[in-house]
Amino acid sequence: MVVSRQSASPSISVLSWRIQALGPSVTPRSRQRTYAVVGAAAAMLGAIFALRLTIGNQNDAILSLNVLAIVLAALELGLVPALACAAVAYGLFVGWTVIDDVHVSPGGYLVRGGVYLAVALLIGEVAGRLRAALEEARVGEEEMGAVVEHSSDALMSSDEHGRLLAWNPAAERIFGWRAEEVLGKRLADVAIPEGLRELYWDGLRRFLDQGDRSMIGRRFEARGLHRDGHDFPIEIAISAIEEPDGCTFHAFMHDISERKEKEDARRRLAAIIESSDDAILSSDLEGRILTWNPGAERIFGYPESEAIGMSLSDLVPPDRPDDVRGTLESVRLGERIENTELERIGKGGRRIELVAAVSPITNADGEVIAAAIVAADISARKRRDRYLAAQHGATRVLAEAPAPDEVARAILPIVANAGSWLCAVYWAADPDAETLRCEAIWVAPHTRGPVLPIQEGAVSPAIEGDMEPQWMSGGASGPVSWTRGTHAVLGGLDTQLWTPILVDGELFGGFHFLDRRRRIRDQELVTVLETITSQIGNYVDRRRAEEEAERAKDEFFSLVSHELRTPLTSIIGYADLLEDVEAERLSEQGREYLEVVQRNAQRQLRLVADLLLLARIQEGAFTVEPAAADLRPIVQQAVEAARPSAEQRGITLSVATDETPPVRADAHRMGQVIDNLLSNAIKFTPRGGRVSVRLASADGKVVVEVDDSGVGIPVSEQERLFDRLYRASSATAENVPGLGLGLTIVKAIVDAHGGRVRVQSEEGVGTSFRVELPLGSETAAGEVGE
Amino acid sequence: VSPNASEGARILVADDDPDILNLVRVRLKQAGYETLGASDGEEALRLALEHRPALCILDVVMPKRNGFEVLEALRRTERTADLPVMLLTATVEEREMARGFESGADAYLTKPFSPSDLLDRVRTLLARR
Repeated sequence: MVVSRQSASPSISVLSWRIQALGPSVTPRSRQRTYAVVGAAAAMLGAIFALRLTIGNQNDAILSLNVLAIVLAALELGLVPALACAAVAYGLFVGWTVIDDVHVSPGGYLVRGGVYLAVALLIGEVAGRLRAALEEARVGEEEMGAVVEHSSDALMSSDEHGRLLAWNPAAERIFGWRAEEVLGKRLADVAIPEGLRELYWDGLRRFLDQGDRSMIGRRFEARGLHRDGHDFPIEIAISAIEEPDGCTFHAFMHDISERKEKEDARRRLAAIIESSDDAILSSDLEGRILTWNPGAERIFGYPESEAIGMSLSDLVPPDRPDDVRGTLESVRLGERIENTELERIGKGGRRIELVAAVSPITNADGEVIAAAIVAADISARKRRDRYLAAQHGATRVLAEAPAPDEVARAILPIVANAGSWLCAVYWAADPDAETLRCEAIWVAPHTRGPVLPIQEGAVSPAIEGDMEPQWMSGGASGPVSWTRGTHAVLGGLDTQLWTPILVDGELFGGFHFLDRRRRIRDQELVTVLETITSQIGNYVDRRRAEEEAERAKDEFFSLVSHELRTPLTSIIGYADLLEDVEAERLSEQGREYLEVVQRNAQRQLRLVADLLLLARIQEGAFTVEPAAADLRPIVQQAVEAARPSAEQRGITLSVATDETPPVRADAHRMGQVIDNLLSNAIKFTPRGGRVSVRLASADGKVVVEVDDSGVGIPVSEQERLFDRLYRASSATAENVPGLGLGLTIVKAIVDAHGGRVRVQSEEGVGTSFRVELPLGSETAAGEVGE
Repeated sequence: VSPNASEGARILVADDDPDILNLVRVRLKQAGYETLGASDGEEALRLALEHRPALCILDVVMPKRNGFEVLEALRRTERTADLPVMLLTATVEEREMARGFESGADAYLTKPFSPSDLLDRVRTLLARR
């Protein structure tokens, strides 16, 4: 046993001291010792008996020595053996009187019996008691020693000078020093980190000098120093024992590193939960909220004090099915639900979109007792996504170039969806912006029952406030004169937003959004809608300007066309009339003159048509109107129309047409193409030459070729041939009439049909123009600009 | 010019250009029709309502009321709602022709026109009645 005597508990110490005072005669017995004592007493009695018989005189003083045997037995063996010993001694005495026939008076018998009995009783009783006490003390000390020995707490005892008196195995384990290495050393130097030693000495001094017992008898936390130099958290309890030779301190301590670490870990976890932006909460399996972190408070708006005890179902929007019970049922079965998107309401009915994970919380037996919920607020992200989608949607609608009256109607569902409204109305202003007419109504999908007390066609007067966005919530606020809104308020629609569409500063119309929920003004949404409505306004403005410009252009072309063609109409008409009615009265010469007038009038007419067409092409206003067309009759008509001028110039005109599939083409314009090519071919072919036209189909294309045996075009000029007003050198050299419009027009028309025109030419040999139109092409309706 | 059932029918011709008005009337008379002449839109409308001719040939560009307006007025009036109307125009703008047909024109003739263009259309329209 390592614990020294001095270190035992107070009662043990006191007993030990008393036992020590009694001396070695009362030390505990062994069995052998008992036998030895019994043997010694018996020998002693036997010896005295024998001596007595031998001596044989009347003096019985020797018999008094029997008392010694009785005392021995009493001291060593206790009361009963002492009485037995006394009885044996008395028996031997009686035996002697009989054997030696000694006369002893009755008083002598009584005195000896009384002495033996008294000695046995007295000493046996006292010694028995003492032995019992000793036994008790020994057992107690052993027990205490065992407790100290096997304690998981370190125990160190020290004296008033701080010197170590005891150091148990737990202390060895915890502090790393063996008892024999440290006993007698100062506790502070061995077991207390340097920084705390002064504190220890102060405490010790205060206790000894001032009787300050504040550190005695209570648990406190401190730090211990390990042999290897590291310090660690400990919990200590100190007791002080005042003894005659001074004060002894017993310090019980244990290492609380693990507990500290657990506490730290708990604290860290708590800090994470406290500081998380996510809502982290738990509920029992009935849905009652048990814990609620600040993140949940921020997201839902309920402080912890209000939230705890509320039901999870209280957070479900009233117009949505309550999914709480089903979720908790899954949790009860041990299921974990991840990444589930939820719609909830916070304090005041605010809508919140969440992505959440719900997991079971189990007790030590693995039984599910609660649900842990971690939810992130994705309302903002969702909202931004919707706003962005609305922006893109509106842009897409505008990119499709709808009619100005249709734009807002097409965009209404897009913007209404973005704001998660219950319903929305597009109101269009009349041209004077005095009244607004309900043009379109949108109601959120899956909405049951009628929601809006307004019907399409309803008319409402416009007021000054209509020029600005208006957010009205709670019925009371907002302009009362706003009749469109008053109806809605009566219909139970609590939140309304009006966003006007202004075109060139004038009210064009507006979107009117409505909801049953009370919603606080969402500036982000208002801004998005303002952007979209201003895009609509700009679009309508631009389209109106374009339409205006288009109309002006059309009017100009109509006017020019009218003004140039009206005189030609009279010239041609009266020349024809002259030819029809007065021809016989004219001389041969006169008829020739008339023909010159007619021919030139026709030429002028063609020029006017070409110029107007060219102007259209230049303005980007040239369009073709394709329809299924058979090119064969078109080619033949063009050839027949050109035949007189060909014959006049002595040119052989031939035509070969294959049967070709119909193409999508503007018959009038294609006729013009062939007319122009033929007229060129005839113009540039000398007398006696030939011009041939061929129509065929090949490789998914329909091909018209116009060949001539004319002067040809130098390669260097071929590229520029289709440029506007370009005239080939041969044309100027030969003084061939023309403005250089024909091929430009040909190319514009063929391009507008999605086709191609190519030229092959050799000077002095001839020229070949080849027009290709795609078969079954649907791309023939494009506008073509220069 | 072969005689037919509509010969002798009365045709209203309206054009602000006297030369063209005369030209059209001469051609129609040659073909045996009776003509009424008007030199602006209002006169044309008045004559049409008054005489209820078998056919109206209206120039588009006219003072006071243009050809479209006269046409629309005729269509709105019960007495003349089904009167055949041919528009005469010096422009070849598709858009303008489209508007004419939308307004209820039965035929179109672009200036300059050949006598056969004119008479073919006139006969067709009169035969349709």
